[in-house]
Amino acid sequence: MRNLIYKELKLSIHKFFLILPFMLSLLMFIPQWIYTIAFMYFFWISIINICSGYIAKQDNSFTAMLPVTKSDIVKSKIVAILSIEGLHLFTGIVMGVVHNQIYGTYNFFMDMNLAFFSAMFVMFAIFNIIFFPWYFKTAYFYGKPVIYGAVATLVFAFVIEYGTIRFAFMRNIFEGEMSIQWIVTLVSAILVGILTFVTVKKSVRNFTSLGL
Amino acid sequence: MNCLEVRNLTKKYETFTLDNISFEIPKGYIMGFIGENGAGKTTTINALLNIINRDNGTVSIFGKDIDKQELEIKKDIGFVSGESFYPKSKLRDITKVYKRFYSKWDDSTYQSYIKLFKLNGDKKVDELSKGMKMKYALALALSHKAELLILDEPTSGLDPVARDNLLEIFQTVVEDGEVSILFSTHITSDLDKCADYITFIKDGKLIESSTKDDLIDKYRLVNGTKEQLSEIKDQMIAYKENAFGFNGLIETKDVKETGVRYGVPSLDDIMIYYSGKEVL
Repeated sequence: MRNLIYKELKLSIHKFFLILPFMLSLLMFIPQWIYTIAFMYFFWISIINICSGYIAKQDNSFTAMLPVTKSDIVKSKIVAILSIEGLHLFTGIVMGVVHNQIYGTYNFFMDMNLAFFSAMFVMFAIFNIIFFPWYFKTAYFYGKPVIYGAVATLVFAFVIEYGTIRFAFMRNIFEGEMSIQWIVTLVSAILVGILTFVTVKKSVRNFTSLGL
Repeated sequence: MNCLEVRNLTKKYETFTLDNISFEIPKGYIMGFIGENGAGKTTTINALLNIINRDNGTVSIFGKDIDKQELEIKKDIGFVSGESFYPKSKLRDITKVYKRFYSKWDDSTYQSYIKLFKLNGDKKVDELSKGMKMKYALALALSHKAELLILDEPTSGLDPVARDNLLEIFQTVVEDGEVSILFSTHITSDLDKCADYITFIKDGKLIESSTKDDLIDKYRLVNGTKEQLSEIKDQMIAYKENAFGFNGLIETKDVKETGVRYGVPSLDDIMIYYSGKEVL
């Protein structure tokens, strides 16, 4: 499993996608912006190119030669891609904190605070549960899984961004007291845990019933 | 002791069925796995390695069940699929990743094959000729002390010199009796040079699995006049008529002294006549 993750990061996934999160995190310095967009570039750029890279590099032909189980192949790919998602979140959070130090915390759209960053974790988990199990039905076709996953994240982002501006109760949740924001974080953590667990289980099940 | 035992291997697709394939390779021998394009050679190899799921059948390698000890078994197998991989990566980088999967990896063996095959680690896979790509895949497969080499069409697309070189390497590899080779191909002349056993499949069905000599002994080429054809037509596997009479293939047990001429077939002859069987 560790060797497969090494293979993913060393051979299969281009290093550009490890640098991209740092570049995109600079978008957090745009004043008065919808910051959920900065995280969405992963769905619009990275994942598509990573999947097309697997095809171009004939990754399946190489993996078929290795002494590995199908279950580990799926898990290693998910772990590698989750690591890149984690990098997007980490760099986004760091630059978001720096943004708040420079500009202050007020934002015309959602503020960048603990609740916002927690919601971004959920946004990635929503994308993952749509994308990964669907993608691993073929381990080849990624178009529809990416499109449906990206649309789901757009809907999620619209609901929280618009809701926070429009409705007081949502503003109280996402921009309210720290204690409520911590509750949002806790709920998000549980949600992300459950969604990721289901993502892995379903992806492994779909891929093991498939030929490489 | 058998290195590989396949029993009743079955895989069904909508338009193709691999039907009850059974064969075994004794340790230290080379088995040629022959059949025309689309006969099911690659499907059989993929199914026995669990790369695709089997519908039925058992596979035992080194006496172990592949379904129960897949990882352990695969560490002692060198699989060369004939497919290219990571075309834009340097050999050095691919090897660095590949060797991590094998505890028995031997760098000095790898270096000796790299030297023998005149490969350059700084080259990208795309920059290698087809023969050199195959040699690189073989160098990888041979450097972790694999006890069973499974090679899917390794000589396909190679020129005669490169093919001959590879066949010599296969013979050297099995010399000490520790390594066995399953070698699928539709270029049967390669097997005349190096195979000990032959498994022949057609349209997903097993035609024959035996030693090469037994397989050849089992059939005879036959030719004669049109009049003679009518006498033995029913016993023949397949035949072709021409202006002078006919040529065909018959099982040795059906050979009769009727004045027709018999000859020893090559593997090519057997495969060609079987492929024309349905036109009879």
